[in-house]
Amino acid sequence: MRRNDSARVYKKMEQWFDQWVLHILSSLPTKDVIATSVLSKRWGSFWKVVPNLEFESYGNIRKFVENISKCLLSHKASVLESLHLKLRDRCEDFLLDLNLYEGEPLRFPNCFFCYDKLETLKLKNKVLLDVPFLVPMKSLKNKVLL
Amino acid sequence: MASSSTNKFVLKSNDDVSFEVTEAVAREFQVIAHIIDDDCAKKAIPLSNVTGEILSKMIEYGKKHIEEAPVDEEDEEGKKKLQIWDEEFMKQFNMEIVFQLILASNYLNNKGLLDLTCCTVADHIKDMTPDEVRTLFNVKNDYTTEEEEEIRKENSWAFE
Repeated sequence: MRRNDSARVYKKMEQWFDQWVLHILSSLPTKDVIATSVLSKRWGSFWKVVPNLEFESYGNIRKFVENISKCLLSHKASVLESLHLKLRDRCEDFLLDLNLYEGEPLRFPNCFFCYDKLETLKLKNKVLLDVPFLVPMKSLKNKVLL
Repeated sequence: MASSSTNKFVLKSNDDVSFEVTEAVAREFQVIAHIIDDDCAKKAIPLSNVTGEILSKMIEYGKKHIEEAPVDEEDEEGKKKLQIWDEEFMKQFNMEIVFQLILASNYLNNKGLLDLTCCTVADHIKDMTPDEVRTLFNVKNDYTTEEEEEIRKENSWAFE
């Protein structure tokens, strides 16, 4: 690849820099987006305004939850278009609380009901639940809707 | 009145290359659709920010998305087929061309191609080192060593 050429074209893109950088970063997992904060001061806060967040757990679930909470607290985008949580590990308790959320109620994804390791599911504030007729969640003991 | 599949328009690049396309293909680009709707498209439509090389690729993309458009929202097979074609289509370009396609699809307002090209860049930089990304985007690192260290520490999980 001719890197100098791409840098030249990139210069032309300066005029709508923020817009296209956010567009590109929007399709990356949040971990990779945050990693771009090390490029320069200008890139330092892009991750805070990307409208799509995607987290994937690799190991310690407690650490995973901590990272998400910390990230959401620093996040400043005026609109959050999507929030994807990918859980690879065992997750026994799941709490979704949309206390500060001001938009239309969100529909809880049906695919979640195929996950049979879950013991406790708590959904608070503005979450719509459309439970399929056959729920294969064998381990579910507690379901709290507030 | 001619239908959008028989009605033809000529698109002219900034290096004077002309392409005759059907109205349906021309309308894949919203800016051109507005020119047609405003009845300003009597002669060739000049596109001052797009070269012939880039325009020919955009027309190829537009044609494919007209011809192979999924029947409806439920047509998963059709969507998959088009997605595979999109991936193959992007493989032929180096990053310079991809950046030019981003500029042109933003200028002509084709959301599908803009999303596709931005995704291609995202996939490309995913496995790069910070220095490689800086070179690609012509970014000067203006952090001091201490500041950079601080940034890495703040969200250390993202750098593992």
